[in-house]
Amino acid sequence: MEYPRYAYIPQCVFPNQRDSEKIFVLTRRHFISFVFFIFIFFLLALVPLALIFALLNASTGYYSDSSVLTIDIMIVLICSYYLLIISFFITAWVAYYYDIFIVTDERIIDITQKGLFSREIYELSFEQIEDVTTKTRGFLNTIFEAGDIEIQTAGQQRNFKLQRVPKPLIIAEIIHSLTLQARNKKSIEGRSTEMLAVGLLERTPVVKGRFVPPVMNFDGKLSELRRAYIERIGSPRGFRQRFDRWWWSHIKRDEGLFVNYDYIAKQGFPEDEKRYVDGAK
Amino acid sequence: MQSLLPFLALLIIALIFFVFSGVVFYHVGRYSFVGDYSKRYSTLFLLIGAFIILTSFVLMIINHIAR
Repeated sequence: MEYPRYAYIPQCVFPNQRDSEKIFVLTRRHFISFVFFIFIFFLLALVPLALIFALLNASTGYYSDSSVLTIDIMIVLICSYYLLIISFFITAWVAYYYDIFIVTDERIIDITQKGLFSREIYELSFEQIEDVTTKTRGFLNTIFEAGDIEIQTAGQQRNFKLQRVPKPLIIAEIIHSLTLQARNKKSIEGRSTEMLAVGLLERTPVVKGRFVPPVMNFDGKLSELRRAYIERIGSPRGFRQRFDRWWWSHIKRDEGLFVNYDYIAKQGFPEDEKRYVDGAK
Repeated sequence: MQSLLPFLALLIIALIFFVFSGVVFYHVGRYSFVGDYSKRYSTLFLLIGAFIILTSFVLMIINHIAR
């Protein structure tokens, strides 16, 4: 059966996510760890401009004295310089943006991206965790609520060290809570965080409320949550509903797809959504 | 013939850049998550690169016409 375009909403947020796996934390390194690259980028971008300004100064007469070929070569050199720095910038950005840390009800996933061609994925189940430590050092980290989290593991597993993650205390609390539940042999389906902030999306903590963003999938089947959300939130009121609405429109925009809320509210949602997991039929 | 060499150099540089952009796009297409910004940022990267190449090309032509 061909699915109508409006109904395409991916169920899977990250690769290898299981159908019933709930996501509590999905975050990257804090943005301040990338600010340094932006600063260097702008500094490097200004160098040729300063050079051109100095050379083309009317008193030097550089342009009128130089041959056509010399100016052409200069243009090519400046062009290559700028292409080179934007390529370095995008490579640094990919390394920053694809470094992702995920906490689900089953495991912790640390995706480490190094440059364009090196990617490492580490997984850790809660049963293996011995201790969680957070460290916030420095002026910027304190102001912007960024810090390091170190997860010590039992046995020969590698220790997890997450650098400059946002809201480290919330993340550590969530991990601690889930570890305790795993130690007490609580079933995976029954695990949840026992605090006001039930999760963290990027730098935004998600607090307990009536509607939970579908990506969090806390309270049962994802499709039911989706339907409830779409039917009820026609005009969002308050921070929480706005956040949910934002999350949905965010998915819609990125996938270039059209989600017609009014239509879905009237017609209902098609039943067999599972075929569209991760965009595959 | 000598005056065409910078144009040829620019063409080669543009080719290398577009191959690199292809690699970035492949990467983004493969590893992007639901709801992330990577596709639009990599498109922005490609557009900025194309703008730089086009501007250089235009400047070189102006340079030739002006002399």
